[in-house]
Amino acid sequence: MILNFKVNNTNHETNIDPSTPLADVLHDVLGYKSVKQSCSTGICGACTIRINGEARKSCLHMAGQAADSDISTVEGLSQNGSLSPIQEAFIDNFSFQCGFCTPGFIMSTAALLDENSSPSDEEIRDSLHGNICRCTGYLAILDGVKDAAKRMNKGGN
Amino acid sequence: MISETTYHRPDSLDQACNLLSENPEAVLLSGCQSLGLLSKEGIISLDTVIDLNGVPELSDISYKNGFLHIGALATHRDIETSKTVQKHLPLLSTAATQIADVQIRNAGTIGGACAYADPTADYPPVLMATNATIHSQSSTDSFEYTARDGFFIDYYQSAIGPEEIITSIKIPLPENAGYGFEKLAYRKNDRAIVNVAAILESKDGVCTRSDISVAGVWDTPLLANKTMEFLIGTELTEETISQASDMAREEILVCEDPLISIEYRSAMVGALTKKALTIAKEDLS
Ligand SMILES: Cc1cc2nc3c(=O)[nH]c(=O)nc-3n(C[C@H](O)[C@H](O)[C@H](O)COP(=O)(O)OP(=O)(O)OC[C@H]3O[C@@H](n4cnc5c(N)ncnc54)[C@H](O)[C@@H]3O)c2cc1C
Repeated sequence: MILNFKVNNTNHETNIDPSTPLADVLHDVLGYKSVKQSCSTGICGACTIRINGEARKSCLHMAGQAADSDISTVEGLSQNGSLSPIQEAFIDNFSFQCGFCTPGFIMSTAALLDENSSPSDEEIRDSLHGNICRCTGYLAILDGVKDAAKRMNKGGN
Repeated sequence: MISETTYHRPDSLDQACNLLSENPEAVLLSGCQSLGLLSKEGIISLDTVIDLNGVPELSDISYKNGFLHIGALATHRDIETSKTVQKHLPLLSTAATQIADVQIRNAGTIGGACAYADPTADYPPVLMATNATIHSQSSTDSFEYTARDGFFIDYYQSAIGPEEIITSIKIPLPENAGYGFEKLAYRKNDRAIVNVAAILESKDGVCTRSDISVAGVWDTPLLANKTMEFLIGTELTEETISQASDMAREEILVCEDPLISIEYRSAMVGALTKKALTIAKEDLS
């Protein structure tokens, strides 16, 4: 079936089985390598992307379900070669080590901060509950999110 | 090679019902948060899919004449954040906040959760305690099921027929009730080991309504009938609530689980019932 995927404002028309997991379409077919399947059961959050602004687990969406929606991935965050404030804050706060889970954490953070520019610790924890990291112990990630919120409130984008 | 899925995305309920009647083997798709697992494990085959997400009339949440109407496609996140639900039935929005995580709540729907009839899910005890009805449609008929009476028939089995689409949930709203929802899980928001929904009403300190439903421990959610009866007409005190929790522990059936003993789960039924009733009682004033 020919489906259209709008990813980071770019349209891709592709012939694909509509029941293919969206994560595989994005990673294997369209080349958005930040999107990774890890647990493939909706637990780990490594495949988190945004659909129409909402954080979603792309392993638990069918290609057909997401066609024609607004999809965004980490690849779309940097502008003119500069990293976004969330990415910079994650680097400066050592909010990742191996990096496998990071795109998912960043997309969950982006969805949170768009909705709530000054989240409490509790709100951050709730928003990142669906993302698992095996390296950092999470505290550095919380610091990264709080720092990202500060940078964005100071007028970054 | 396995042939490609035939994928339909109807834009009206009538069209969806007709497609289902022409393709009774077709799989309905709402949030895909359970279907994704079923297809990955090879439990379900996706030869034909009818994606309901293009049917606009299924997402509505509204309050009318003492009833809360929730469209089948309302997501857990819609229910959690809906001002209407928070105002008229905080018991349901509280249950929604305890489902999995934000990503899953953004996608998963109440209609999908009802059809799936997961015995550990968080809406079923609320739908049982509130005496909700579940409404569905086929190409020729509409149907109404009572959550308490025959909707949850067995382990992962609801009464919905193969040619029916769940369209909405209708919940009669008590006027001055107190609510309690308690969930025990390995990790916050994991699947329930035990969950309890409780509703109390009282007049001059004496209980005039009590509804208690427990899930996660049996193939279907259960009502604590004897306990409910016991509480009616009693004064709601720490002591009567404690007695009621002991009764619930006694009467609620608990099945075997390879990881958790029956004794422990039964004890937790008592403990969570006590907590839910205590919170419901405090909520009354
Ligand atoms: C990691 C994880 C954790 C979870 N934790 C919890 C939890 O803590 N508590 C909880 O309650 N749930 C939990 N869930 C389940 C979640 O709530 C699902 O969203 C829900 O059970 C299914 O809803 P859905 O809309 O995604 O349905 P789908 O996956 O799209 O469909 C599920 C089933 O229902 C059928 N169906 C869908 N819509 C309709 C309809 N309108 N009429 C008739 N049949 C229909 C489908 O054909 C399918 O068989 C969890 C899921 C995951 C992946």
